[in-house]
Amino acid sequence: MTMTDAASGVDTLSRLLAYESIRQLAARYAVAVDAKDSETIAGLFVPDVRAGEGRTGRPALRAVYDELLAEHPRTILNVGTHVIDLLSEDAASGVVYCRGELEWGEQWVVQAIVYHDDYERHQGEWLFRRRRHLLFYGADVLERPNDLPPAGRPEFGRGRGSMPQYWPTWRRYAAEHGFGPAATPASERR
Amino acid sequence: VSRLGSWAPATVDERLDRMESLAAIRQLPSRYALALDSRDMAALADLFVPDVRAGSEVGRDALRRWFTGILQASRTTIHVVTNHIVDFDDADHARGVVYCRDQLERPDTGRWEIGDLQYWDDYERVDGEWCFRRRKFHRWYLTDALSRPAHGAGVNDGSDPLAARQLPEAFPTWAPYWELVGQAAGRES
Repeated sequence: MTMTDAASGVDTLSRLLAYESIRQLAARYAVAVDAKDSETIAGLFVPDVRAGEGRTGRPALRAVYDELLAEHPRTILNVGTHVIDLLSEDAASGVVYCRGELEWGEQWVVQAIVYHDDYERHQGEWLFRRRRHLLFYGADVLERPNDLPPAGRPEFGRGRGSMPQYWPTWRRYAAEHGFGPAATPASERR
Repeated sequence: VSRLGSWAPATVDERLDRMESLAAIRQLPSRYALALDSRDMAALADLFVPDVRAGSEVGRDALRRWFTGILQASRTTIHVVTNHIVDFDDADHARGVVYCRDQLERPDTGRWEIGDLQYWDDYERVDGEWCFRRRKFHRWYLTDALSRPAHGAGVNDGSDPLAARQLPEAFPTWAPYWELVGQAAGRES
């Protein structure tokens, strides 16, 4: 048994701890969003996190989340599929799927979310360096996602998002193999 | 039998090795889902043992061709993996059960299918790398997003390219449970 992984040069216990800590990050983010706990959310990111519009730091990020969290009274984020790539002793990247349910006016919106994450170990603690929030779609629970208009930018809302076309492998597959015959427009469907 | 299967590691090194194996095995179903949904056909086939069986053929190339073909029936696919149990048989062999909620966009019918399924997995460590030896695939249902799920809906009705067994009947404990409670009910009446 090798105690050190040749690819990343990280010892066994550090690797195990990295996997568990990073899985906890994704789950803690979801719980904190649903609990409207912007302080905890901001604390899951590195201290010099970028918060948009040239601002950096956790207080700035917290202000961003305070605004975002006010948009929907109730949210339910269910984290699933989580791919983790350990890059070095202190850096990792990941892809996380999440099924989101959002109370949205009279609608109950379901979102199929994908986060593309960068993780960093800062003073011994694994944190988000960056979370890219991308959508397959967001739709009312009684809507079929097929014919939705494109989602806005950034992709927090309703409509078809940039997944799966975001993935280069998906675009290559689509160009080389295509998919079944095009859908009949909804207006001509019986 | 421990909570991690029948294998009982003898040393601290073996116990540590089992934890590393568990971490690697837990990545497999997530990597499978991401490779499917991003249509990364090479990465998908590489998750299986080099001598994987693909229909009447053997090997990763054959499996990649098979997946490439069946995935043309759907456009967007979304596989959200959740519950995952792992049982170790020895240091290099394990079995698992994985839950998955899948969504399939069907360009030919204009439907958006939503389903609940399970994988019954065999894992094997080959040259230090944990792989799928085999994934068996079972389903509760697969149905359009705007219709109410029902027992057996969409299971092997031709809309799904994979041959699935019907859940929950596929659980070996399912029928015995109903026999037991049926007998109990019979005694009461």
